[in-house]
Amino acid sequence: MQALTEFIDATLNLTESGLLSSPFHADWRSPSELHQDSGLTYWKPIRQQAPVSFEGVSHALELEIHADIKAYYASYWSGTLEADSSEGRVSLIQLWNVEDFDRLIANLIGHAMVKQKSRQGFTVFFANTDPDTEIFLSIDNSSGAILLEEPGKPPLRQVETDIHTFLRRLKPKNRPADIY
Amino acid sequence: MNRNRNQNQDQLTLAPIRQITGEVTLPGSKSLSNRALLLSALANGRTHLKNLLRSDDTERMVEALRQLGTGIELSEDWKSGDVLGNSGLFNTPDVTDFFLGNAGTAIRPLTAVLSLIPGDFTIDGDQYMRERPIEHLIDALLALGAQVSYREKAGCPPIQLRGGLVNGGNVSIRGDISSQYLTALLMALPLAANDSNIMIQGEQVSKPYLDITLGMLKKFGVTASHENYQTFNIPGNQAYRSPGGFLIEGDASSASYFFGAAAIGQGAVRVHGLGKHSVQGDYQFLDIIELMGAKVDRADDWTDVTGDELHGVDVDLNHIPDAAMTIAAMALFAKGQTVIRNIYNWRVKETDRMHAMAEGLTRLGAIVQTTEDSIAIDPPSEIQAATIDTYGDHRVAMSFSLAALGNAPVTINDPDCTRKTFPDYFDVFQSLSTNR
Repeated sequence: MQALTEFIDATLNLTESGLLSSPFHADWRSPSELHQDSGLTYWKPIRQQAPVSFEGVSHALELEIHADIKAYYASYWSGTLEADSSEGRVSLIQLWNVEDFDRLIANLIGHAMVKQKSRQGFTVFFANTDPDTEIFLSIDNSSGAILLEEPGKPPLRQVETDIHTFLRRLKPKNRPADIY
Repeated sequence: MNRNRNQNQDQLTLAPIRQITGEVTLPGSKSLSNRALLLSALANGRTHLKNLLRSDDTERMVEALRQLGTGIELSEDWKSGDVLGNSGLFNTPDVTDFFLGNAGTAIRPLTAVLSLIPGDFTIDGDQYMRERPIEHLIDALLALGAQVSYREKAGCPPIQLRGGLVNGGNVSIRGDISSQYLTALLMALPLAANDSNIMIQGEQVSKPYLDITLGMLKKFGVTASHENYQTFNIPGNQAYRSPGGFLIEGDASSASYFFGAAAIGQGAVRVHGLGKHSVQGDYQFLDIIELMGAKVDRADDWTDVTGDELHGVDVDLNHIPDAAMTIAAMALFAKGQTVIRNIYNWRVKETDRMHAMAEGLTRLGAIVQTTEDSIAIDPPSEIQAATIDTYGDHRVAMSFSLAALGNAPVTINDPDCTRKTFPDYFDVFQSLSTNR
């Protein structure tokens, strides 16, 4: 996904070392990690050599998964990427390792159940917003549009036509990933 | 007020209203409800809570407090309830797994409180909460001596917490992200054995919310002080005392629509659940409408607003950005220009509120100029009939209901977006309206 690659390059350009950092957890490792120092791990997004597959989800939900969703999550092993938009802060969810993908899938299945029950179309969350709210951003599985959503409710509104345009209008930030 | 909804309820037309008069009681917010529930459960004595909000967040909190052995009796509609306080920290419960759904206002303070109680706890949420980091709060608890590990993804629920190891002390947390984990620590640490000092890194955001927290601690008999929101000092070994009864204040931002409507139409409104001791920043909205010409009477448990001729004002409303939207709608009815400054915050909410407000006011006939962080509104001589796009934003919908106090009908698109904070707003508004 070219827009994601550009976003990552711009993020890394904000740092002196070309690396991002987050607290080190010995039992939660990532192919993106390069070295550790003083309780921090230093990492930079690295391409997935064997990209994750949404085939299982597709079978489970009996749905074709939008190409943008697959491309977004199957590009890099990476920690959360931070940004600002004209409407506020954005934390882009990324995959740290294969187990992280398994978790994501489990959470997406839970999300799909909520959507089915309320007869709403399936969406896939990919970013968190303002830490004091539960509002998140998702990709609409049928159209690829970017939606603002609250758990268990119909989408609040469409914020962009597609993920590529959305990523290109974000301003990357070098800040630690945060609590909500 | 006559109102017409089309079949799929995606539009609501408000017929012209002559006046708003009457009395209204506003529901408490989910965060204030949850704070009151938790403090009552920790206090000694029984606390009678009034005006609780029933929501997913408060249901999760009540469940968790009952799991911790708290006796809670609630009326069917939850508008009142009695909490039998535990006189301090809870005993280790039999069931130590806590599931808090998507309740952000429950998981943060409960995690902080559980860190003080001996036991091994699992704290988890639903699929949405599991994607949201809780690491900053956990880092603060780790610095205070807690033992925490992440069961799955580092930084996110579910977490495994060994409680009983936090005794107070010094800790730094970032203030520029949120006020909610500081609030969690402020509620838990008075019960720690020793004193605590919390150093804030960066500029603290959401100071009005912190004032609300400190105000509640005080009402429950606990002290905590701060130096310019950069250092918080919390004496340890304190005890929460039941204030007997506790009114969960109605949301002052929501009250602003009724106050504003009464001020415009020379009406009179009494809002119960909001009084001169309010701990909410948006209560200062009343100072602004007094400047505009309205009459305000502030009592202990209620506030009256009586309308009079309004005139435009030039004000910095950075401290009350939500209620500032009501001022913008009131500007339609004021003599002369109204300028609202320092409201960059309008652009970073659920929708671009600056755009939404400017568009709606213009459709109603006002001449509007905006900058990056201000809006200037020249009222029309006569308000025009218009359809307002709310962009799914509850405050845009509620603000523009005030435009119906002109001589023209106003149509609100997607009126049900008020479900976020005030699902029956238009019904309450209707009950107070007299049509032209």
